Amino acid sequence: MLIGLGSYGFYKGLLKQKIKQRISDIPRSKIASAAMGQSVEVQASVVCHVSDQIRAPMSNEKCASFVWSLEEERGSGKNRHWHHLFNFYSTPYLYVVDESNEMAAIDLAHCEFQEDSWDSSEVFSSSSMNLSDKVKELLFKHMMIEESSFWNSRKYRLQERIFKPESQLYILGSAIPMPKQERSVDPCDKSKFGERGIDVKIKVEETFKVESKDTYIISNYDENRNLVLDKSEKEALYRDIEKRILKKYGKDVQNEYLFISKFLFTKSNANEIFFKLDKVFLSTKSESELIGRLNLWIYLGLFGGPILVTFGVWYFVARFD
Amino acid sequence: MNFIIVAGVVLVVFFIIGVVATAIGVYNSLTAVKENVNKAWANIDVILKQRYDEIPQLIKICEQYVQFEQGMIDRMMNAREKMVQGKSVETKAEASSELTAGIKGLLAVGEAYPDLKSNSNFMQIQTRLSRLEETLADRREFYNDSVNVLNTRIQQIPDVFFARSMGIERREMFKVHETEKALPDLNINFKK
Repeated sequence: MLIGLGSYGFYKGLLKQKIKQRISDIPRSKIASAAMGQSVEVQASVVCHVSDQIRAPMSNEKCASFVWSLEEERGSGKNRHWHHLFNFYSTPYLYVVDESNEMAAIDLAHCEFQEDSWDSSEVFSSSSMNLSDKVKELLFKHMMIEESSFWNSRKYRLQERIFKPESQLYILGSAIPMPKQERSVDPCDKSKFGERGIDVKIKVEETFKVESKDTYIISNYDENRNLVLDKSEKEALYRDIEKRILKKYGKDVQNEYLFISKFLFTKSNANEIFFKLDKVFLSTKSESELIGRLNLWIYLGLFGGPILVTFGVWYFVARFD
Repeated sequence: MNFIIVAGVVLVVFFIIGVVATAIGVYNSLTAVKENVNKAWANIDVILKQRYDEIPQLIKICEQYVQFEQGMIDRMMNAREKMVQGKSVETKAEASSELTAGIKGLLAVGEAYPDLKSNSNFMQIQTRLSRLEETLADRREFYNDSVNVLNTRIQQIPDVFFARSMGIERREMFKVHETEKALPDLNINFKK
């Protein structure tokens, strides 16, 4: 075990060294004038329209977006470990703005968060499901989990990370032109996504349910005078209700940020063989703090790794001497 | 077996792996830094070309309202040619500064002539050029940062040994010339 741990630590030290070198070698860009390409570095703050802000289900804090990691406990005794099942993203994109007052989007499903800590964490069993109703509703809605009886109960760990508006982020990744729809680039089976502006959408649907039964409103939208709203007439009513509700927030379109963002940070297509760095680096620390933290991991890995392997090999050899 | 012998063997193995990994890492990162500088320069060239394409149209619109001294037009067109044909950063930077000074002069003329200022084509070009100048300034800053990274890396140990064998040399920065810093002189740029 010492040999394995030491070798892994040495490998991690080399990987962190590569990351640190890449961060140091790339100067910071401004979103307004950045050219799209493989390595773009930006320091920006999270931006979110008030109509898109949501309450994170676990921490109950107002945020622009949240990410869940769901793990299942597997194995027993010494082999017990957490096996990662899914990541859930409340929205596919997170929007940021920097000092140049221009906006960019981040494809959250292809990010590597440099901080290992989570904002909230809960361990629960599938039989007791001792979670809040909001959390349970989301877990079942997106088929991340099934309730079970005591006899086939499984243990899970749910962790939450939130992105609050105006929080500072360091971003290093590949920048591509903005897609026409808010969709993660090449999402994998382990990524599940929520919907943006869900609170507004619910309000629109509730209003639509009421107004589509109002005879006065029907008469205003019934163009073919058959006393019933057809599909196109219902769509027209839905659009008008949506515009009315969005106008209260000072918006014309639900996700206007999609159309004004300059580019999208997403995974890289670089063909690296060793120590592949294809994800977007995301950190709440500044570049200098990040480099300081990486230095610590480099020294631990490059010096600690060989020391652990030395003791491991000596113990292994001593047992057979 | 003696702990010292085991420790020695393990450390030698890791040392060799570390040296090989470092050598590969230094070579690859120096290549990446060199290409970053090339890319940053190419991205400046894109903006310079866009600006270069706007100039004939700007001169044509201004000439509808004002007659310029031929010398002034010639200077701008020469700077434009120098920028296209120039090979070194120094030549292109100098040409770019002359063009910027010329453009500032032309745009300043618009301030003196209300008819010209309110011309919709003039306003559109003015906005486009203003945005291009801002982007150019940011990309120039980025290019200089990239060059600074390269110039610093190739002078540090152990990169200095690899840089010599790879033929990587110091690069020039994109400097602002005195012509660009000077205020436009409206009196000598046109005749009524």
